[in-house]
Amino acid sequence: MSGIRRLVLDVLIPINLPTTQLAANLAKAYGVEGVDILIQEVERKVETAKITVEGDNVDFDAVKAVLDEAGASLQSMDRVSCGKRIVG
Amino acid sequence: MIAALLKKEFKRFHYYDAITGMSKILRRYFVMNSFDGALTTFGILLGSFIAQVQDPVLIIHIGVGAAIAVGFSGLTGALLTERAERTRELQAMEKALHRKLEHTDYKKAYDFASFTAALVDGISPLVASLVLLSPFFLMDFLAIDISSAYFSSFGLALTAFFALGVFLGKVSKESMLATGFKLLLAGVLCMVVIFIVEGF
Repeated sequence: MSGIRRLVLDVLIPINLPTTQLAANLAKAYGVEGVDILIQEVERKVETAKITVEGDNVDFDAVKAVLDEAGASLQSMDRVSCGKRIVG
Repeated sequence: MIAALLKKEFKRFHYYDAITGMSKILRRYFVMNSFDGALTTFGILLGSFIAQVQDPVLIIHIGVGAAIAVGFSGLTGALLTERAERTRELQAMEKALHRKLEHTDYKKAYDFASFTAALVDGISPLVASLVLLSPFFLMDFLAIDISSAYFSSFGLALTAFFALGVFLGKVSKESMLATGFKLLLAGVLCMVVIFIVEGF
């Protein structure tokens, strides 16, 4: 399997956007089998979150589309893991 | 199938409410504008009663006309002010996120909130007015004379004021009786002023 197995994204989320719903929507994206949203910083209007998605063949475009549609803003891709074995 | 659709819509409403906090605004608009509509119609009915208007059709025409006007005032006023306010909030959010929010759930939630607020703002005074006018609509059906219709409407008006106050008390978790009586007092005061002014 050579697809993406893990993605760690740095995302800005509007403060009142329910993260539970965002996590549920991300979990439905193609190839995603698990989602973790860790809020790292809370500001007046936005939250900075570290979003980790895992699966056997994660479709990055599908993940990005879910974030876009919700109103979140992808700042950077901090980590990407591929291959038979997840390193680190 | 309908149950599933309703469940989906209810979920969507909750999602949008979490984003915009619109249920608080809707509650406020509902009470404020129902009271507005009820008080306007109450004033028209009191004026007609003092002027000894005996034609129910005339009262219905005047009352419905005023109700539609108050409803339109609420609808357009809320639509414009809410939209302006929401656009400002959205622009501030776009700045904080460094992106445009067109075609996002966030934008959809804000549009939905503006539209629903306008709808509540427009419909609530209309419904309140029509409820107060209902004895005049139902005069033939209930076989009552014009005086009974007037007094039934006054009774309905005072009940509506009290009920709106009770609802406010429930929302603010204060004494429901106290807030009920406060709004009732406002209605009674309005009645006294109308009687004093129109009496001369």
